[in-house]
Amino acid sequence: MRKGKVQLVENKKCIEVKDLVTEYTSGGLIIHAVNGVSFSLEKGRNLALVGETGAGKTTIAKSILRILPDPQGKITNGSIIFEGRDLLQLPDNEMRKVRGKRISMVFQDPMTALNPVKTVGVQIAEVIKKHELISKKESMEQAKAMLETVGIPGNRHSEYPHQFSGGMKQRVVIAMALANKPDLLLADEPTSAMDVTIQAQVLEMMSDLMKTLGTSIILITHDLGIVAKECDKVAVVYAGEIVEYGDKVSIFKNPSHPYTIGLLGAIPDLYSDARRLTNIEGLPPDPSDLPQGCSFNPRCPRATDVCREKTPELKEVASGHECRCFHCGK
Amino acid sequence: MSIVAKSDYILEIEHLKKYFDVSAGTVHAVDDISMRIRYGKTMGIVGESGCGKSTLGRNTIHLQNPTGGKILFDGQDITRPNATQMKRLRSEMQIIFQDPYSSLNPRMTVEETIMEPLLLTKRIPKNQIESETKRILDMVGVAQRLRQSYPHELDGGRRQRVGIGRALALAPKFIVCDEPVSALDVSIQAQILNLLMDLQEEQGLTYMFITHNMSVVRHISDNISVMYLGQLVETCETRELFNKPLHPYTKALLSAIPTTNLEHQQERIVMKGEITSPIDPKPGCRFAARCPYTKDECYQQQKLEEVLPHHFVSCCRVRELKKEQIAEGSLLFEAQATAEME
Amino acid sequence: MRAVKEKKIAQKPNYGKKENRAKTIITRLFNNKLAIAAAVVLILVILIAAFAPYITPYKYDAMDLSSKNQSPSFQHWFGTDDLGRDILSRIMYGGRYSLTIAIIAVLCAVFVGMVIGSVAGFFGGKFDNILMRILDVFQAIPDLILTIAISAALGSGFDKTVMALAISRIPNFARILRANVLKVRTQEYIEAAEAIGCSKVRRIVKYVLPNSWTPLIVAGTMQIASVILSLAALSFLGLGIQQPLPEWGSMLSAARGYIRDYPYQLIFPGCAIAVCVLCLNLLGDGLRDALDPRLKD
Repeated sequence: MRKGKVQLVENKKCIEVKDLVTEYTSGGLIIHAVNGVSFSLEKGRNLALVGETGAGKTTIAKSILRILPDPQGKITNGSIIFEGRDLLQLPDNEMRKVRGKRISMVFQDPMTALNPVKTVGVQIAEVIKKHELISKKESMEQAKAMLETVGIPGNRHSEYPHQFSGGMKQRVVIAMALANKPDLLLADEPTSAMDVTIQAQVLEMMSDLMKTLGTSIILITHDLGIVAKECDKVAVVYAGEIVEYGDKVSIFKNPSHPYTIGLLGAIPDLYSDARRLTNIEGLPPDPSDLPQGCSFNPRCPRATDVCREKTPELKEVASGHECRCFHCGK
Repeated sequence: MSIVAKSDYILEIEHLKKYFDVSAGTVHAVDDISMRIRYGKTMGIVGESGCGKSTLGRNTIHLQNPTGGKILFDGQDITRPNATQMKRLRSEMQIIFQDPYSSLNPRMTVEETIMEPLLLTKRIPKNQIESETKRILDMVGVAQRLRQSYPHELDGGRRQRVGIGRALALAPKFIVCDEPVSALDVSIQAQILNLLMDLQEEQGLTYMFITHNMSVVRHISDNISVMYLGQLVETCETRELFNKPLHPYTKALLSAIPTTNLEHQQERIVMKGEITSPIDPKPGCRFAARCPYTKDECYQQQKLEEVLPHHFVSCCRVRELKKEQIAEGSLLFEAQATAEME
Repeated sequence: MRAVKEKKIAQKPNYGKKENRAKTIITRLFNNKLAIAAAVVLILVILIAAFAPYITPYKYDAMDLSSKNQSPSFQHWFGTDDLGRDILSRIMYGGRYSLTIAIIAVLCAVFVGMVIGSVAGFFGGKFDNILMRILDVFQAIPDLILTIAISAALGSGFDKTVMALAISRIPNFARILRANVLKVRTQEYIEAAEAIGCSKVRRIVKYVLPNSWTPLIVAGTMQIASVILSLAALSFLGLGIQQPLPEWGSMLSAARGYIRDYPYQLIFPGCAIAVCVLCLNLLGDGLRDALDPRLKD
């Protein structure tokens, strides 16, 4: 209804997430997985959600698609504006039209994403048929074409998932995700389980496809190296919050948040000869028992009293570069 | 025991082979690998899934029995060890595993895990075992209050430290590190790598460091051997490998590594096709099926040749390609290498 | 056929909290009301059987031919059998035989099964093959028939019955344990034990067994129920425990002919068996759920 006019204004932004709060309940405990996350992504650009295990990155993606486990997972606050509509307010049947067609997701483990008793051709065709009113034959033709696009010979459409290697299975999953030419692709650690050379192949294919289709990606990863090559914007996630956010170049050149600095220092770099890697002391926090004040303060070398009492807000440290710390960039 | 002239090498592997029989044929997991590791140094073994590096590590310390070849440790031939040699082997050659979640017995406390090797070898008199256990825990940075904890109560980093402590309890000279940090978060990886390097310095340990992570191996190794499908394709000093990779596989591998250094985002060399099967492989170079430079001679038996000083490559076309390469100037680290030479 | 190992996907971090496994299991068990009720009933049965000489209104073999075949009444709550013996007292005593024999038989079978299963699973190869084929032969014969055959060969009496029952159950436990041993055997901590010089025997006893025996708890509990039934069947058929000992199965046998005239003589022993079996099954279910690692988040 509102599409025509609103689209003109919101043309630049693919998706805008504001103050997202997501919780899980498990055995009486409340797990604060996402605590007020906001970010936006322009059309055709890529955003990386970076962080370690348990930071909440996957939960953010699942919240966008509203595929959290029910009833344990609940989105308790926030808005997700996509194509002029707040996804969190959509009724179920409308949301189903979005999933798989306008927004798709690729997960880390292709083995569990594919149905072992159906051929890959059929699985891709099903995704297409679900959202378009076309014949079975036509959807199969499109599926074969999609296989070719991801670098798998079309005549392999009649094979089953177990006949493919890990890298090729992930390509099939990507083919399924992109079959309907979505505007946004959520990729949750799509290449973490792969060898580095297969990873290179798959990432190369993905970035070519993105350019051809004009799809934006939100790439969830813990590998800053991939981020440096593939993404435009970076959001560093820690304990369910974005602690540093902005343009990739700015963040890599001038990391401001102590966690980001620690992460970059902890990775042995091919191009430097540092004898010792910098450590981040301690362990990631338990999301059911977050520390008071800034969630990073128990591990932070810069922590002062104010850090233990108050939670910092996102502050701009450079153009298009924000940091959530009382001692940014010092 | 005969007196052997002490060589510079703590470990010498010659033409090591390990084959497995499966229903479909014979898997050539490790095929004709030769290498030498000096005392106190770290040899990095790199390669991707299925290259046989883990198998190599396990065969070196006799957790599996080699199908063929020779292994010399500290001057002694341990290819077919007798009982005495085996005992000595077990205390002088140790291993650290990849998965901290499955390499510790869930039913043994931290203390029991560390005490076990001490109880088995009787290296230390009984009344000193407890104090030795405490000392080892300190050495690997595990708090004393965790002595009665079970593995499931600890996080990955701490478990790995316990695993390292267990390996060190026997005061070994040589440790096979089989992907010791791959299953850990980045921030914990750094802690463990630092620990391993410190221990090496303090105790003069020699490491065989197995990994698929090139950045990590560059950081910790003195020499690197690159494996592909059971064969050794290239081996030389670490810096040399990154400065002048000669084998096409090594070049592709290096170019595929994601790096956070924005100035060095180079074009990936994307290999074609998939990895071939290690079952009853055809003779010749196993990388030939995916190599962009394959010619007929690649399908004959390849030899490891010293192409540059202390730089061995197993590729029959390497000299021709090297000429092209130097002309192209497409080597990694070119700028840094020239700068350092000045 | 790929010899390619998939890289491990990082597991959820343990936030360094101490977690008492035993406590969690016990709590989970206590939350299962049915299992607790079953356990209470079983404990009651055991107590009654243990203190039977002190609490039964009559001695189990006290015959009173003048009051035979009496229906349940105030003097004889469960009535009397055809020799004038008080059925209630006999049922209370009967627990001794059913439960004791069943528990001992199962314990023996578990122990032997553990040894066979762990050795077969650990060493594998031809040895495993031979052992498993032998077990196959035993398992190909239906439980009851096997038990009857062994019992007939050995004769009746307390210890012979226990042996017959135990032998027929060994294959089951051996297989369960072997399956777990096969799983555990490939874990890295077993390799690690070898690397530090652990002998094969020590590896089995200290590393493999403690990590693979828990399914035997559930299986054992369930088998006690099954053995009670088998014992009843044996006694019914004239093997096992015989009159005048008040084993429930033999009580059923003795009352066989009276099903139309004095059904209570069959109902009460039958119920006793049924109640025990039901409670054991409920308890076994509860234990299985409590021990199920998948329930852990």
